[in-house]
Parts: sequence; C-alpha cells; structure tokens
Amino acid sequence: MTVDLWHFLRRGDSDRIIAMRDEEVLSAGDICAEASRLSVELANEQGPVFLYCEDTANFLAGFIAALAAGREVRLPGHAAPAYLAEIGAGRELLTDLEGGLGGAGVIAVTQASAADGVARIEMPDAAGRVCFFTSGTTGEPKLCLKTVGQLAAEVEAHLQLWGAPSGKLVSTVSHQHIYGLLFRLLWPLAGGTPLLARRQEIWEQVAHHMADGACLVSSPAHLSRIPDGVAFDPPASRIFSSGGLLSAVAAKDAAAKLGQYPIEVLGSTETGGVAWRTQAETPALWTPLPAVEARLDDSGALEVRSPYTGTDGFLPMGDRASFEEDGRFTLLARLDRVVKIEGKRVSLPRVEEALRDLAGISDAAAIDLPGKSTTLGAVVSLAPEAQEELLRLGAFRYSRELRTALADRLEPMERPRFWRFVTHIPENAQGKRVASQLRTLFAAPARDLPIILRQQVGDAEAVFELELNPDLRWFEGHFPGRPILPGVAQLHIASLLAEASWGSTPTGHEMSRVKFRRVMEPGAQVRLALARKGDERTEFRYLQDDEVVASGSFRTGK
Amino acid sequence: MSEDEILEKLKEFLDELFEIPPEQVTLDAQLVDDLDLDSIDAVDLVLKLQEFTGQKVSAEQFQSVRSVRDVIGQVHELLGQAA
Repeated sequence: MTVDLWHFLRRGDSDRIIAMRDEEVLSAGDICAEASRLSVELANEQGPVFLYCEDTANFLAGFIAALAAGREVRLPGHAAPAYLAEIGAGRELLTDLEGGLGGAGVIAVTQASAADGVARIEMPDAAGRVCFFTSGTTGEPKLCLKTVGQLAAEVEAHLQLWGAPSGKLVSTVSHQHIYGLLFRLLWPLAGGTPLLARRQEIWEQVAHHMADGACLVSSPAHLSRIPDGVAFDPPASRIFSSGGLLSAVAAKDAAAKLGQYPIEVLGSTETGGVAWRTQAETPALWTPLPAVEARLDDSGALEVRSPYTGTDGFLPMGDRASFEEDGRFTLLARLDRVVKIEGKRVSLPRVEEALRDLAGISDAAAIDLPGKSTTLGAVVSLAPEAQEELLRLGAFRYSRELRTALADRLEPMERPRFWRFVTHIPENAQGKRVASQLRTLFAAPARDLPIILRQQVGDAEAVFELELNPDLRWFEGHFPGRPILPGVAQLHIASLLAEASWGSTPTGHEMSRVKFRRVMEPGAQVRLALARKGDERTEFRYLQDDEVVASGSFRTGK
Repeated sequence: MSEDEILEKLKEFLDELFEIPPEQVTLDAQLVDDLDLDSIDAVDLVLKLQEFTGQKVSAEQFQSVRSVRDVIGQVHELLGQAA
C-alpha cells in the first residue's frame, strides 16, 4: 500500500495548516471548501480539463476538484495564450489568472480562502489521470500521462529517503511540471508540512522565507544565479534541484552561499524520478531512487524501469552512463544531439565537453546552424579573467584563439566556426536549453544583435530581454562621446528577431506609428516585445524598467 | 572590376563566412596569421570565390596565396579570364 497523499486533507480540518500565502494561513478545511465548490461545477462535463494556477493552494483545490469529478487533469507548462491554443486548452480551462483569460469555458478558481464549516469532498483515487506537456528539442508540446498512483509511489520514495520536509516548503519552480508537482506540492502535502502558495522568484525573498528553517525546491536556472550577499540563516533543512544538471561551478557556488550542496534529482516527465546525487564529493555519483532499476542497454545508454514510469518495460534515457559495482553511476554525454557538418557526424555534447575544459570558459553550448551548408556555432560564457581577455582581444580574435586551442581535441569539422559570448547560456523557464533559442543568437552577425539574455517565443508574441553590449556596431559614431542606439538600428533589431522567430521578413517600407521616446545607451538592459498581426504586420515595443522607450510597427512579408 | 571593388566584395564574403570584422581585412593582412583562416576555411573561401567569378578555381592556384592582396590578385586574374 502506497502512501496516502491526501491524509492531511481528508478530514477537512480547519486547524491543519496546508499552505501559507503572505500573512494568510490556509487549512485543509479551506482547500476542501474551494475544491468542493469547483467539483460540483466540473461534474457537469466529462473528458479532460486543463488546469493552470499561479498559486499552489488554488492549484491544489482545482486539482482535487477535477480528479474528484472524474475528470482527467491536463497541466499546461505556462499560460501564454498562443501555447494554450496550441494544446487545445481553450475549451475548458480552470485557472486563477486575474480575469481568467477571456474566452468561453474558463472556470475561475477563486482564491482559496478561510472557509466556514466543514466541506466534504471525495479524495482522488489511484486511477486518477494527470497529463503533463513535455517539449522535445523541436519544442512541440507532447502529452505525457501519469496516474495519481504513480505520483504517490514516487512521493513515497521521497518520504523514505528524506522523510517529510521539515519547517515549511519554499520553492522557485512551478507546480505545473512534474518536478514541481511532486516536490513542491505532493511531498509536503503527504508529509504534513505547510507549503508556500506563491512561487518565489527573487533570492532575497527566498532567503527571507527560509529564515525560520525551511526546505527549498529549486532548479539550476535559479541555483546558478545566486547574488552575492544572499545567505540562509539558519541553513535550509534541504535544498533540491532538478530539471537539468547543475554545473560543478554552480553547485560549489550554491554550497558556499547557502551552506550546503543541493540534492539533485535526475529524471524526466516520462521516467519520473530516476536517481539523486550531491556534488559534495567528486566524482558525484548518482544513486537510483528506491524501486528504480537502472542499467545500460546494448548501445551503452541508460535505461530505467520503475513504478513511476507508467510502463512495464525499460524506458531509454538517452544518456550514456558508467556504473560502479554498488549500482551508482556517472552520467556521460548524451547519445543524441549528433549533427552532420560537411557530411561528418559531430556530437554536440562532445564539442561542449571540450569547450568547457578550456581555460576561461565557465559554460558552453554547441549548436548546428542550418544554412547553405550546416555550420557549427558555440555559445560561451566566460570566467571573469577571460572576460578581460575578450575585451582586450575583441570577440573575433578571441574566438579564433579558442578555436585553435580546440585543435588538440577536436577534428576540424567539430570546431565551431561562429561564436557568441554571453553572460548566461539561454534557457527556457524550465532551465532547459532549446535549440531554436540558441540559433536565434546567430540570426545576424555578432555586432548587429544585442546580447539576448532571455527569450520567450510564441506563435503570435515574442519577448526578448536584451543587453545592449557596448561593442554593437550601431553605437559607432552615433554620437561620438555619447553613444545611443539609433532608431533605425532599433527597427533593424526588431525585424531581425521577428524574422528569427517567425520567418517573416520586413519589406523595408511602410512603418507606422514609430515613436522613439527615450534614448537607449550602451550597457542598458531593455525588453523587446514583438506582436505579430497576421503575416502582414509586426508591432514592436522596447521597454526599459517597464517604461516604453520606443514603439511602432512595420510591414512584413513571407 | 577594380581592386578596391574586389576588396570590398572580399570583406563582405569574409564577414559573411567567418564573421571577420571588415576593418581587419586590409591588403597586407595574412590569411593564416592575421585572419586565422585554416585549411577548411580556405576551402569555403575558394568555393565562394568560384561562385563569384564563375570560374573554376583549383586548390593549387590558391596554394601560393598568403595575404589578402594575393587573393585580390587571383580574383582579378580570374575575372580577366571570364571577360
């Protein structure tokens, strides 16, 4: 018999704390009251219902309500309107987003809040269906089904390994993905630990919430960006990371600042949790989670079987691995991500490994760039001393030095031709590198495009966080002594990124309502928001500190 | 086509193919030492020049080429043949 996920909710007690939101405390009774209200509404229909909430307490109420009503729950990864339309969430969406999302079929989850009296609701059973959306390297959303029973089996493994989270549970990740759902919601729920209903994005706030002792559920995206001066006092009871591997540098940095090495959990939506490690020792070996069988297949790739996968057989992981005698293992480069350059097969992970081993490089990504012939690009972030070298030599000369330094290890075709130097390798919200985002960096010559810190591209809208690096060619001579980004360059950058996002090309004439309100100077961080109005027009807005500094639209063709 | 025009064209090609900043492409710049082109790059450059001149360029023809000035000389000669 697996653990009862709903043990602490079941009686609807008003003195059992489930979640905390700012100063508000939400009891089992409060959650059940909202769930019971929603469940009545949801029981009118059948089939899948989509659930997206910003707030974990609201999410929990919607989650139980939908399952109790016998509905399959589908969890969109985020709430961009184009994405929701793509996965068919327009029909019936359960959400706590302000004002819903317009559209028919939207059911509002009202703030779960302190309720009077006791509400009874049937708790979901093990057969309840929960669907996640995964994005492959192509970025196309794919459904992945789990049952409540599988999720419970995995939570049981967490309780067995780590007990219940102590203190309270603080998180920087969303519960809409499997890792967040399991670690941020179901584990503390089953363990009787209160959780913070709101996701914490800012490290200073995380530290504030950790102040009376708590467990942190985070990801490489956050753990590799801890500002100086952030410290946990007292130390966290535990820190978790998943959704990608934590680099050795980031693990060490987190340990120095937060007082302990994060526990990394290896897995995917398909496989569920597979193994865990910390990087306190080297080599940092992975230990399979309880009830997980991990082994190598004929090609040397890792494959796993567990009660969490939802299939009886072994599932391939796509990573090469080498096992120790005690069953722990080291992860080696992935087997996929092999591209053809000039007819030769080139393994991108192998190139990345070689890059990361070069002095001065702290992280690297390699990417194939389609064109007349496919070429290889490298996106590299540098250690501080190497950044000085980059400034001294210039990007071109420096990249050529790196290329020469790779000659020992890589064949000519494996050595990147095009180079981009960035402060952080672009990742999506889940901390994953997406090929299309990396390719965008190469959409134009290096000195034509600002540094792209973050990007989110949907069907009709795209947002880019940009840093206007001082060596952009547009600053030259415009104006001597007081460089500012010329309006025509602002238009050019907007149209390049529109082209990279949607393949639309500007016709070069017909701009309208173009306004340049404030100047943009070298080093500024700005946000560029693009909106595509059919194939015909693209609107752009540059924002700095949420103030619109330039806007307008231009005509595009296909 | 004058040598200046060919130089401009060559700057364009080197920028497009290798992202070499145009200001580094001077007549005296050495392909290997200053522009860091390697043998693979040279093949790509030859292909590009072949496309541009409409003439078959043999690898041997390019063996003696060391500097940007040499490349321009070769291209000039090839264009002359085409005329």
